[in-house]
Amino acid sequence: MSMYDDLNSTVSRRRMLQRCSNGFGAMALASMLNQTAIASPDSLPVGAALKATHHAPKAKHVIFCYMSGGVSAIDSFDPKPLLNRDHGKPMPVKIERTMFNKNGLIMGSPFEFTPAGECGMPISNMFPHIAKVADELALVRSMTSPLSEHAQANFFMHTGFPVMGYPTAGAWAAYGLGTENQNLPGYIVLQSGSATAPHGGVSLYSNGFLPAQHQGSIVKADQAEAIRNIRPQEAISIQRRRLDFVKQFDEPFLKDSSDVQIEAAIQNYETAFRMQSAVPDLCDISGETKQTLEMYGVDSPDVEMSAYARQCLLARRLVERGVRFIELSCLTRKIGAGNAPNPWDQHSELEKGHRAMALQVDQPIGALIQDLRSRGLLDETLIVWAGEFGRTPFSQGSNGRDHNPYGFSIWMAGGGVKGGTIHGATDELGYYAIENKCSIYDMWATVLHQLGVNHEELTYRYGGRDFRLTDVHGNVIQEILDGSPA
Amino acid sequence: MRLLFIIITAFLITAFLCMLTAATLPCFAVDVLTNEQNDFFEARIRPVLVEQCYSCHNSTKQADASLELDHRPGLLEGGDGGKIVVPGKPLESRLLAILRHEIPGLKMPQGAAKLDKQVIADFEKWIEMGLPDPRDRPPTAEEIDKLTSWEVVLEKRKQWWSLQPVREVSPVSDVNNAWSPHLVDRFILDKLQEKQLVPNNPADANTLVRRLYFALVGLPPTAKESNHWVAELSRPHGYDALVEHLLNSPHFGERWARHWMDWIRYADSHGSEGDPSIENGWLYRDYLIRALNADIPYDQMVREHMAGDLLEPPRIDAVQGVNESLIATAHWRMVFHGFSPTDALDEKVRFIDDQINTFSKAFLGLTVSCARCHDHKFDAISQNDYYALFGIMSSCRPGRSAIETPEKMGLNRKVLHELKPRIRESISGVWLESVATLRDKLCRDDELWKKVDNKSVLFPWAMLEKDLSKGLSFADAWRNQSDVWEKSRTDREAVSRGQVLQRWNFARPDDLASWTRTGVGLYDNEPSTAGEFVVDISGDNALLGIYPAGIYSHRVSNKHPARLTSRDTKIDGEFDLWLRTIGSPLSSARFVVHDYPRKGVVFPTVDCKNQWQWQKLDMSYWSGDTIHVELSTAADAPLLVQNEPRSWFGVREVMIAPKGQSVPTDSSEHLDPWFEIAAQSPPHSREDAAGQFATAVEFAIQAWQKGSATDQQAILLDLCMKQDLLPSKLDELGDAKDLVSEYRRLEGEIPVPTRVPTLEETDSRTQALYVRGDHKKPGDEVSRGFLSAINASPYSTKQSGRLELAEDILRNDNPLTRRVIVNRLWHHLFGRGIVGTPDNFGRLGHLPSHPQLLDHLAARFQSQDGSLKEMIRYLVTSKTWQLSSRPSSAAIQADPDNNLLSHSHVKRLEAEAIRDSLLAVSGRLDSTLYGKPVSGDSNRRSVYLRVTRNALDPFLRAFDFPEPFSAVGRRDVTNVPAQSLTLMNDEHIASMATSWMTVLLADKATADDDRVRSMFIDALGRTANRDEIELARRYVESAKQTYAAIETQATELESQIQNRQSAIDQRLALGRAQILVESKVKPAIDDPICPPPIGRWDFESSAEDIVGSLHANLLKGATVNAGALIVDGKGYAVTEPLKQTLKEKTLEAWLQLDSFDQHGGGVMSVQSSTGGLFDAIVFAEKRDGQWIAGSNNFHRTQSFGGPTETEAVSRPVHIAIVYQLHGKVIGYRDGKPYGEPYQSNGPLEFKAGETIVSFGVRHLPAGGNRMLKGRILRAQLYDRALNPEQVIASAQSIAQYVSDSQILASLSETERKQVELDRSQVKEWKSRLEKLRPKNGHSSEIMAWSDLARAMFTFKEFIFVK
Repeated sequence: MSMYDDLNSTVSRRRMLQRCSNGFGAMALASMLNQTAIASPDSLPVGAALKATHHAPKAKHVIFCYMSGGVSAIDSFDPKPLLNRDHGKPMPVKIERTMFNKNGLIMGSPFEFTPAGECGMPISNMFPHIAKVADELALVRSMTSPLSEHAQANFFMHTGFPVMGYPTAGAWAAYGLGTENQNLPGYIVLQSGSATAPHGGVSLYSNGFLPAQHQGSIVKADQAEAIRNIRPQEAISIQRRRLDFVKQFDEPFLKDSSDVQIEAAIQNYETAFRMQSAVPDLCDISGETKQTLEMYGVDSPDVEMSAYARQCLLARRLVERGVRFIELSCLTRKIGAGNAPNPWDQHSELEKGHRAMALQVDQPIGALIQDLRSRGLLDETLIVWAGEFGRTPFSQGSNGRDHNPYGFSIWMAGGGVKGGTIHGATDELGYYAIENKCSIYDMWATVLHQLGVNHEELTYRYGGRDFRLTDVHGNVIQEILDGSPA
Repeated sequence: MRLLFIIITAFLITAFLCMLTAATLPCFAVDVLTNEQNDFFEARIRPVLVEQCYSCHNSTKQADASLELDHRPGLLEGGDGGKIVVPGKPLESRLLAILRHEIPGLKMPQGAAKLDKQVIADFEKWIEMGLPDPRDRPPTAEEIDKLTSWEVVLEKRKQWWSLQPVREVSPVSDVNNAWSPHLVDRFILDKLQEKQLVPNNPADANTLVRRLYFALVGLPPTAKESNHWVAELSRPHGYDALVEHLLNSPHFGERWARHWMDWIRYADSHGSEGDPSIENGWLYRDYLIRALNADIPYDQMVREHMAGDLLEPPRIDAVQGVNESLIATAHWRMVFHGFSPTDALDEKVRFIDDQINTFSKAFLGLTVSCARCHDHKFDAISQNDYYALFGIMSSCRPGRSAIETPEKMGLNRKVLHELKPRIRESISGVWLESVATLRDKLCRDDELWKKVDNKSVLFPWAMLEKDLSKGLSFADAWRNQSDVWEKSRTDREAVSRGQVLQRWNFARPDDLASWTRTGVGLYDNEPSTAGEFVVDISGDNALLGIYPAGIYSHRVSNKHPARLTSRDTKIDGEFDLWLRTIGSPLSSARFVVHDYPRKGVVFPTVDCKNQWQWQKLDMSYWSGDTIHVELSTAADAPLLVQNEPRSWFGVREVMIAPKGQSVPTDSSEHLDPWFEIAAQSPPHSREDAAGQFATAVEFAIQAWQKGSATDQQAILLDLCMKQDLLPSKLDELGDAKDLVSEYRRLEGEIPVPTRVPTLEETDSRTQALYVRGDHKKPGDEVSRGFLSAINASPYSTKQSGRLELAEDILRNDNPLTRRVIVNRLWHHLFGRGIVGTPDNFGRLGHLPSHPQLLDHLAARFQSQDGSLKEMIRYLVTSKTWQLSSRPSSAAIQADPDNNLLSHSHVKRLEAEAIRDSLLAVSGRLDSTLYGKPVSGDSNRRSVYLRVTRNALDPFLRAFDFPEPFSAVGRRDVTNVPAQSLTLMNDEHIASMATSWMTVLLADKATADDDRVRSMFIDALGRTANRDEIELARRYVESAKQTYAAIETQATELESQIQNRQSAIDQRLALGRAQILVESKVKPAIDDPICPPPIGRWDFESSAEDIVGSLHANLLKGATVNAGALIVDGKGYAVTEPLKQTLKEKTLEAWLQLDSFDQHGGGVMSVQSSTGGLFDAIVFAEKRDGQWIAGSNNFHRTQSFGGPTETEAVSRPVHIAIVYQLHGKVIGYRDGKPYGEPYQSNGPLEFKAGETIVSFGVRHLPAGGNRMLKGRILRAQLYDRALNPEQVIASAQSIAQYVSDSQILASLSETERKQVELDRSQVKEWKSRLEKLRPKNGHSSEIMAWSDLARAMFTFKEFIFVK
């Protein structure tokens, strides 16, 4: 029995036996018929909602590097020389409503761009380490979102809906595909130092209406109590003795009712007991080499970089342990309007703020990609780097930028994406996506596709309809995938 | 061409098939259908094709995948993917696999539920039969339209079981059957007998008592209750008596209100960025508890939920004097609100969708919200229906209303109204006397005008005097002033003639008529006429003001609530909003875009000022959107509530004018009365002019006295009064003084009203349907109304239609409402609904397991006036409810899921009941009813915990407390490790176990066996059997040994630590002394004078406590750097809980401030874990720049009266506060007494385990002005009051303080290594010690028994009810 059971939705064992004895065997038949000619699907661990992937997966794990607050695309991955040429001039096109309505003139980028890797992808000098792995990146420069406000955009980015209550991408992945490690949750959100949930709160990691075991479990990478209540406050032997004692009472109680949910609850204590050692084991990085720690920046004197590096390192360790979906959280540097939930939010002091934030994440993420590659894990791990929107080409105040959801950049790496690709384009000021526009639905459709899932086929029936991560939208961005024509 | 192709193909296929199958299979030409075949097609196939397939696969409008299923040739031809049927050959017909959802990506009907097995079987048979089908040609477009029109679809969908009338039939089983005559039981028995099952035995008495307690009040029975009722149950009517007892318990309401709160997604905050509080939303929770306890009929509660604000008469709670009906509407406001959206209409559509989604699920069991973008895919709900309901909700705005009855709110209003003219009469009499001297006064008293500004009534006089003193002739000098006045008057008129989009002058009743007035402050129908005045309710002055014509909220009292809102106005283009207002500072004015109630940069608000002003708000950002104008007192703003009991506003004019149009001014209106007299006969001298001024004032007083003052006269009098030209003080006003005193006395009796979030009715509107749900694509307008399947007639009311909505929900022929509520009750009592999906009675919901029973209950419920208690009583007194939960083997075989209820379901307790049980069993439960929400560490029942959307209580969440975003009739019951981890490791749980045992062990005389027995009764409501007692006793014995052994080990370890530590200390002391010698500071060997502190933080490299275990955690960006804890006004640090209780104490810190310009920041605090109680070193809270001993609500605080701090920014200072046992509090700065000691009513006892130390924050929760900006270099906490000598010694040690890194650097390599080694050893030992020894310092006896208690908390029997 899996560690996480939804007592409502799991078909009871009795009922299963009943069905089999009646000779329906419907499930076996269904999975046989699922074997189509597209590509052979993979079988999935116990507890997965899907019986098998829809097609052969390219990736088994997702690492979601969430750049909360909104990274400026035109200062990071989408250079626009015209901005610098026309710096200080008025915008030649209509300006959409902005959050702060303090729209200034065109603002050139204070960052320089250099072609990186063999592909020559231009990357801002705020990301020297990520630039080193440019050939692994599949960049989408034409992302759009309908929302220009943090909380709603965060919900939208995570769940496909702009309000609380819906399952987040990580929960969908864990629900559909299950997890290979029965002692760790399938969807883990890492935090360290000052990192916290983006605006919208922990509901961004919610299972929504999916069974609760798929909600994001927050692991505090640098704290002794990495997961709430994971630390026994007494000797483990005492705890063990108590659990054994409790069993002597639980078993007759179970026998008396022969209720499957009680049986599951008894099992659950054993799982929790094992988690108490699995989690500290995960967080204990003393076995990592000095070289590894240095590469990630765990030993960096920069407190934020060091803390983010620890998340990246743990992300790799989670991948090694078979965890399905891992989300990383930026730490705060209070610059501009940036704060703990939205550290990239430079409504003023854009250059200073973005430099500080880039310093925090650049080396650790670069190291994560290299490390996964050298361990042969990059092929099966899809890294998604994204914020909830980009920033305007015109200034807010003297040196900041407001939110721009009309055209911004995200990238993916590993997990079967075509490294060194650039897909889509914004206009010459980087304001609107104009070529191969992509939506957040497309992004998740692509991620699910790489996981072997047809995004239209991963559904959950709730409140009168079948819900999906991609609502009723979404197209796989084929152009950034391996095997697509160059 | 295509047609021809089809015909040919069809012909060929038919011909081919005929040839092929002639031998074995029947083949049909259209003209040879037998009756039987025809009937089969018409009855079984055609309806499905029409309903499920035609809309996407037809020959006239849309043929997805080129497939036409509306005629036989099309069906046979197939589509892009090839053929889908082969007549006579089901196995070769892909259609069946498609319908069975066996082909990935091709699951038909698309986006819909799989067809019933029977329907698929019909198709299989049809194919087998060779597809007999009379449809030989494609239908015409009209035919298709007719077939697929919503009317046709609706008629079909109305056949769904839940839309059929409630019908009562009798059960089959005999009323005299031996088991039970109860109708519920007979319906249950009918179904059981069909499966040859028999009902289980009844549960035993212990189980029944426990089951009833949890079901009805959500708490376990106490041992006493359990014993009593178990005995009672064996007597006749004992069970009924228990049911009555629990139904009458006040805790019944708490239990069932929480269920109701799930149905209505109750929350105390709005979520999203900022997560603003839903101020006073908890009054709705208390409303539910009261209503359920009072058994208010369900119909009435539903009415109140829909339109409690509109009910005539409302339901009044006479005792409290509040309008209960009104409070119910608060649920409408518990929506999620985004933060400062740039598309406000989108946001509005979303929050109305939230309202519709919630109420339709809660009260109708329908998913109406699915029809926002298109007709419902499965249910009888059209998109029109959705927008008919949307129109009702969009005719309302977020509101806020006082709940007191009109009598209570209008207390003394009439008397006060009547008193006012008498006050006016009296004051004007005094004024008329005083005005006689005004002319002379003005001529003689230079001081009167020397310092006036241009707003003063004497400004022209001052200018005149100035001109005269420059030598101008009087005529010239006067002309200068009269020119200025003339010009200002022309300007004023120009502005009033200026082009505006809209203008409202509140002197005019007609202008006011279109505005909505809320609150007793604005109940009068007419605007105030000029000369309206307000009595000052405190202070020396008689009057607060005399006003021009307009609207005033405080005519009688500024406690009166008031909100004034305009109609919606679409603003196409760039406009400014201008408002001419006066008011108390927290009253506000704003424009509201699409009813969005929060504020933000693009949703600005302006506060009123205590003098008339024109305020401008730029609305150009919202060009193209719809706004309304809102003026509100502090506490009456729908969401931006400021809890200020007294607040008021007045407004004269509002206008919407093109952006940038000339600015209206207030200037010189008050001069009109004077200058108009002068214009008629120009003055010749100063005396003339002064005389005319006096005359103008005199006329104004006379007019005011008669009630006929003009606006200008009213303002003139107001200014004269405020500028001491007329007497204003009570003492100068003769009789008026007594009248005003009487006024004040009566006004003082008026209660401060309580406001709840509500809706405000505005103009009824007809909503345009949004095409595909896109609010940017309005389509046809839809009349307001209900679901057309139940009532298709549109609403014509001028109100929103919520009253009509309530009546439609409650219509006798609405088959859903009662079925839904009785099913909800059934679900909560039996653990699973008769309909397993309580929020969805539509096609995607479950079918009822006992439809006749459901109808019986619905009918009974209705006939008993919707009494919830009566229904609950009826259900729990059935035999079915009382069955044992142990299934028979026959039941396991025949009905493994127990759908037929041959036995009871085992139920896991809800999160709240688990928490409440823990509190109850451990003796901590505070069973106070009602009140403001509390945090999770409170001992109140869980129903009172604050539901903060962004920070839901983690304990409750672990046990499936739902996220509040939609109706939840059936909670998840999950089994996640967080639950086990909580019960295993949460310190709170451990401490509850200890609480429980501390009480039980207090009675030393109790034998162990008896103690175990009483624990079983307490926790599980049953007696322990002999084996269990033996097991438990042995467990405690062995635990005692363990804890004793641990104690020995711990003591040993402690001494090891001590020894090793002193070795380290010695080594370091040498190094330290060496450094001090080198730096020529006299060393003080570890001070014998100073006792050891219980906590010391040197912030050298961490926030660890270096003598004890009070390690601090850095929060919100606090850092430790360069030997200091750095806090920036946001960051702070909080330690682990204290292991000892603290009464007398000394707090000591060395610190440096970032600036003197900060207020109330805490340096170091000892406080209860939530910050409710604290003692602290605080900077500049009571007085600028002074140190104080801060405490909760200043309970133990007085000013030391010490000097203002002038150094702490440039150098570190030492601050110590000593709290002596008998309450004396002494402050020290740099070792010297700071100001004067004082006697407090302390010291407060801070309890072990519940007390923490914090740095950088005065007390928790962290925020506001509690935060310090500075660097804390070192801090110490003593569990004793240091004497002055000790404080001096300690203070001086900083001078000799040498940092750890300095000392280490001075040691030799070997020594340093040794120190490091020793330290890591000590650290390891300490952590071992921490793991070994419980933190609370209890005896091994208590520990052992608490261990057993914790075990019992983790028994499955504790959280599962049989």
